[in-house]
Amino acid sequence: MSISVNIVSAMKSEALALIDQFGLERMACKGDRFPVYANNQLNLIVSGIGANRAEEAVCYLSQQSQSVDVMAWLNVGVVGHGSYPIGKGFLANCIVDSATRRTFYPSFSTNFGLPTGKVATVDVVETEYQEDTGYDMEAFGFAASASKFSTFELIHCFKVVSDNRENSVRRLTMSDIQNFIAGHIDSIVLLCCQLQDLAKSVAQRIEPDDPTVAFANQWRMTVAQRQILRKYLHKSRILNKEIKVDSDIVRNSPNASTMLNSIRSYLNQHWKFV
Amino acid sequence: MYSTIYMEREVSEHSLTQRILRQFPSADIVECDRYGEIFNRKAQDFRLQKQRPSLVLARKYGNHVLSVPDGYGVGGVHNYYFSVMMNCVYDCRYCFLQGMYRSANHVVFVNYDEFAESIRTTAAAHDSDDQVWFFSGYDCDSLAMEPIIGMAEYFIRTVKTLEHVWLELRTKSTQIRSLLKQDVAPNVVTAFSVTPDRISSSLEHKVPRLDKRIAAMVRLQEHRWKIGLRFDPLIFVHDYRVQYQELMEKIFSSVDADLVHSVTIGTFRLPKEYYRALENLYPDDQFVAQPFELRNGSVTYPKSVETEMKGWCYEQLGQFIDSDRVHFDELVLESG
Repeated sequence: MSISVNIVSAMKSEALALIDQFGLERMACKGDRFPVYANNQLNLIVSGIGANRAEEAVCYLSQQSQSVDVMAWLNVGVVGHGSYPIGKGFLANCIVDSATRRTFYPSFSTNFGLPTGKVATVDVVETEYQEDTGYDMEAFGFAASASKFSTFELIHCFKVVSDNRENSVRRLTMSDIQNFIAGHIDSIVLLCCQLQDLAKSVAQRIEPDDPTVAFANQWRMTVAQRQILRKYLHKSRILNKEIKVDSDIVRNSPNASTMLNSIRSYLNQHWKFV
Repeated sequence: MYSTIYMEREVSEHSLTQRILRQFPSADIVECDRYGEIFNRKAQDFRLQKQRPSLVLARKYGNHVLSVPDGYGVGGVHNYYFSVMMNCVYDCRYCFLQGMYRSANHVVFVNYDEFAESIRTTAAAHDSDDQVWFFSGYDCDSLAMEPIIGMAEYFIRTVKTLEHVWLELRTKSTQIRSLLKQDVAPNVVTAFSVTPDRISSSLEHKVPRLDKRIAAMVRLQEHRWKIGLRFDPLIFVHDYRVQYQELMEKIFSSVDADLVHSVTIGTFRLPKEYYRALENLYPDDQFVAQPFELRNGSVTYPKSVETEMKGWCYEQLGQFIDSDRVHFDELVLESG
């Protein structure tokens, strides 16, 4: 089963340290609407600024990853904050779209071991920082879009505080932003590993191949019969009583219906599980 | 235990909320408007959440007390259930909650007073000669969270003075301290769900060992509390007779059968939609992969297996306890 961790950053300056750390290479993508960088486990897309851009970038990246079974998503970027000091990194535990008040709550099914905080996604740069709130321009668009492709447990936002009441956003340089992200590169690497593990555990539930193909060559089956067969074959494998196309119990079945009945009878003999 | 606690703004000042929060000083507290924003949303992974569930503190509006589904009860005339909590700290592979809820997070409704009022009103609507039963432990384990949420302590106080009212606390837990520290309520039954050791260790993850649960039953009996035994769900294995015989002998060699209020027997069954959810969540699980049968909308054992198991258990229980205290749980769960 294939998995990937997809990182979305708004600006190249937010992405540079990650590209460097993970050894990502620029990919040639269909349409080339967004710059995408990748290695064999991880993709990074530079979305541009704003929730709409982040939303589109997530859709674009998922279209580029259609062969991937399970995708985890991470938004990495900088925020202004009402109470956290400059340079502090944290995971969003609540993401509010300031325009609509819609809220996204990331789900913490593993211990990431990182500080957390609220993020409000705004349309224009916020300079009146409220207590306990980080302000960005992408997180909500990112999360809302990613939740169409993955479960909440696999969608997270890691933010680094770049400005606050004492440190104006207007003095921020691209180099500052790059350094803020680089300062948390170890946490981000660990976070990616943890997301990868979660994605793997979801991927393990997906059956790799359709085991009914060999049977379909031998017996004519309706779609419904094939679905039932697939279920039976799966059960037989889990119960350590695997049935193959040349197994005695099915070999001489004259038609699909008889074959399915034979498998059903066979399975009914195997209730023991402890 | 909880590292993330979601809390409806409305209950943030509630005394029970504050009491719970004090027990998790390092938890991340996240405010929300309604618990459904976290609990009911789509695209959640129950199995991942179950590894590390969060706590959600909320207020329950309306429907505090509901009529039980058909076939649920221990002989009472009027039967109701209430749930101040949704989801369970244990992880039993056969449990219907896995199919019923999208989220594995634990929701606690802190407005116990409104539940209590509803119990009193419901009870008052019935003739005082009729037993009115209130079952807790349908959508959660009644005692597993007791040290944190104090549910049993509160509702025992509620029903203690209501003469024709009975309360059942269904549990697999050993958290009986809150009962032992108060006076006995003769109209409260702590009903322990039991399965043989080997089946329990294979299917009932995080559940206390059987001998510890038996010890809890004995302690309650020593303090004159009524207990019940729930052989539900009965789990079929080829040597089930040996395993369930051992289980019964183990229990009744310690527990005083004369002081057991009631016993119920019911086999494993799940609404088909819940079972489908279970298959998707645990496709690699040997229990889930068994060749169950679909009967009357429920996924269960073949009729012959069910009849044989129930009949055999009923007969065996007769060695230990009067048959008029043994009930068949015919509850048919309805998918939501």
